[in-house]
Amino acid sequence: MTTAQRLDDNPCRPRHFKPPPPCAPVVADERANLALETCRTRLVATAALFAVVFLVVVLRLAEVTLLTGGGGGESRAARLPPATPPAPARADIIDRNGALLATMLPKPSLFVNSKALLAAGQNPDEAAYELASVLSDKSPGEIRARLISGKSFAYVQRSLTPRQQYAVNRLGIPGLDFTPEERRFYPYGDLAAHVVGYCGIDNEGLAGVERGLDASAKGGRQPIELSLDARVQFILREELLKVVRDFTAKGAAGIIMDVRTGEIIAMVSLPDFDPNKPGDTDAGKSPADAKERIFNKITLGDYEMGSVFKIFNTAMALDSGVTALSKGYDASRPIKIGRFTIEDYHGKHRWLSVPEIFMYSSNIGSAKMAVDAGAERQRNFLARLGLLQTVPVEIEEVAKPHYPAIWRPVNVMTIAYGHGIAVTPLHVITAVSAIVNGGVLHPPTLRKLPPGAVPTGEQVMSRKTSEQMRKLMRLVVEFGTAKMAAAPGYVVGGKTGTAEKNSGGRYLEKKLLSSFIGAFPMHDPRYAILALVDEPHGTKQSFGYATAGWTVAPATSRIIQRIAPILGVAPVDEASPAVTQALTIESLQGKRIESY
Amino acid sequence: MIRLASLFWLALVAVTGFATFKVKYAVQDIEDELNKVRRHTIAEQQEIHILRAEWTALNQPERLAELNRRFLSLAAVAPKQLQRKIEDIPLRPVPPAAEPPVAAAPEAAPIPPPAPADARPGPDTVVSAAPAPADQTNTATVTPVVAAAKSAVAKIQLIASAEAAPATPAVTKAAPGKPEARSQTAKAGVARQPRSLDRLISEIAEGR
Repeated sequence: MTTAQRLDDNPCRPRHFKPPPPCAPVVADERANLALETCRTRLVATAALFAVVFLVVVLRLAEVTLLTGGGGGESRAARLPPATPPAPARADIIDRNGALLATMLPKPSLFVNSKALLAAGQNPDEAAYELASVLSDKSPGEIRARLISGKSFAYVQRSLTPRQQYAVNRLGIPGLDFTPEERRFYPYGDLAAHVVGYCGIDNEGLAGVERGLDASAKGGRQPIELSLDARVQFILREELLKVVRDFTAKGAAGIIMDVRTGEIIAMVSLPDFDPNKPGDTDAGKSPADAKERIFNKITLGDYEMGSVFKIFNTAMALDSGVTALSKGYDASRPIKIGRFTIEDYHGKHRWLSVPEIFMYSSNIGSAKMAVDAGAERQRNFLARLGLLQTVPVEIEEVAKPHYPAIWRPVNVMTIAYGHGIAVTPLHVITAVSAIVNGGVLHPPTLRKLPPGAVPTGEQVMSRKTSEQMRKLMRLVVEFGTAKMAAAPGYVVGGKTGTAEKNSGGRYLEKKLLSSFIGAFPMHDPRYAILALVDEPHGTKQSFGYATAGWTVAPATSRIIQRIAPILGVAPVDEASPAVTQALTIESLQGKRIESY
Repeated sequence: MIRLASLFWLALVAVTGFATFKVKYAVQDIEDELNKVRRHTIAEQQEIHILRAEWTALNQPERLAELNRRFLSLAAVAPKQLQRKIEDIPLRPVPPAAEPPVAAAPEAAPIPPPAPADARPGPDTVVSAAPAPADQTNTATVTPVVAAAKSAVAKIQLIASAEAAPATPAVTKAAPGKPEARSQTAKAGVARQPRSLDRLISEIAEGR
């Protein structure tokens, strides 16, 4: 009532407003009350439910907008394509200066959906003929067989060039399509074929670094940096090719190593091959020729290196203290042991001092030196230099050395001058690097080390022995068998070796293996170089000689003169006191050195 | 009142909704663009990769050697060419006796230490640029050092009056161009220089 009265009294009351009729008195109806109560409860429950849902929505909203700043950002960004191209199937291989040695290039493969082709009413003969004109190395018959195979997928040709792809597209033959594929490409071709190796059609590493470092090549986009220098590699290869040509040799090989780190700067084995198409041979050559080309003489060729081994023999004798530079041996008469006779190639037929034995490459003197030291010392020393086990290097094509199981006295003598033991050139250069660098053996490596890094090596002989060996090796180039290896300004030292090749237990006099191992600059060696030539034939220029001194020694001289500026070795005055003091042998001072 | 509030909220909803959609579409556009740019980037990178391979193939040492033989005939560096250290290279032979004015110049113009520092090109030295040559044309040209120093004087004089002047390189203009002109008029300058230089130095010192 009071409400109605108040409304009536209200002056602002709208005219049409009528006060509600007076309420009917509330009757205490049990059932109605119950129904109302139920309704109310349901309402409250529903409201609570809604409230909870809204609260959840509000909280989530607050979280999304205020706290996490969106939250959906990552998923959105993830949906976008990446900004970098997909990682290649294999990582690039680069040389120490960043030149590409191997990379992946897109090479689509052409395949045919034979069903679609036939369903489109295409004449397969015609299509095959057209395709054959575009794909140079397939005959129409071959292609036709693929086209009518009835399969929904058959390769017509793998690895098309961009030009071929364009031409095929232009033909407009239905049912043909391309698979996006990548193929390994070697821009330098045969330059470093044996080091880099090659890949199969499915991009699996089959040889060289490609095989040895297959896991890291497949791993990612970071290029594999090799220790190789493509420029040095080129020079080495060019000069060796020249040797092969000049002396009509069967093959040649060369390797250059940083003696301080064991990094391989260049490695060449001739004949070589094009890793872009391994197994291919020149027209008219047999598959055996392809095999010969793929054979890496440096790591797989076990050779009896001949006189080059006198480096190890002399170092062994000096390091063990059995002999000294001032001592000597009688080399006037050949040694007869069993059915062997050990003779000198250019015998002096007199007593020779140790430097003379080394310089004139006396087999007799070396054998006597080795006998003095004994089998035990000789074997241990060679083992220390790593000559009796496979060389640890990144490529898998490495050969085991061959040496006698039982070290008999005759073996001691022949091993002294490099017969009766066969090692790879890689063994030799690794050991010689240790001999000239102060006696520290570094395992050879094909991976580039960071500049200035010097890996820890194993001290295999005294520094004094190393110093003496440097003097002796210098002597050989100054007065001995390797005079032609001299490169003015670069203080070359080394040792030649001319070995007769052993075939079925017999030494073949006409089949030589001439080699030179050297290092430069000898007063502070930086690089070691080994060059060998397989079955050279004497020429008019070499007066019929095919020995190392006439074949590989001059080549080495040329190589050193060309690569030293690239490798940053400054020429010095060879007569300067700093050089001569480091390289004179006291016991020879004042004596006239009889030239070889 | 209530209606006004409702209107306000309604308008706010409309504006918010509009803004949301606008931002959404803007973002979509940007994303599309980003997509396109990224696709282009990838295409370009692949192109670069192929070109790099081609470049390497073109740089095969064998090919370069052949090109050298055909067009350049350059020989390998001989040890003789490398033998010299920097100390071994003889100095260039001393030229015949220098002209008198050049010889006179050092004694005439001891370089005032603060002058070069002040004559550096910068916003305030620039101020001096225009008046400096005009100032000196009648008094005959002097050595560059003096000219630079004079320009510094001019700067001190003008620094208050013209603060915002168009930027032109100061030093190049302040230095008299031709050495011949200098050698001709150096003697005239010699007489006057010490006084002006002393004044200059003292003025610079005071100016600081």
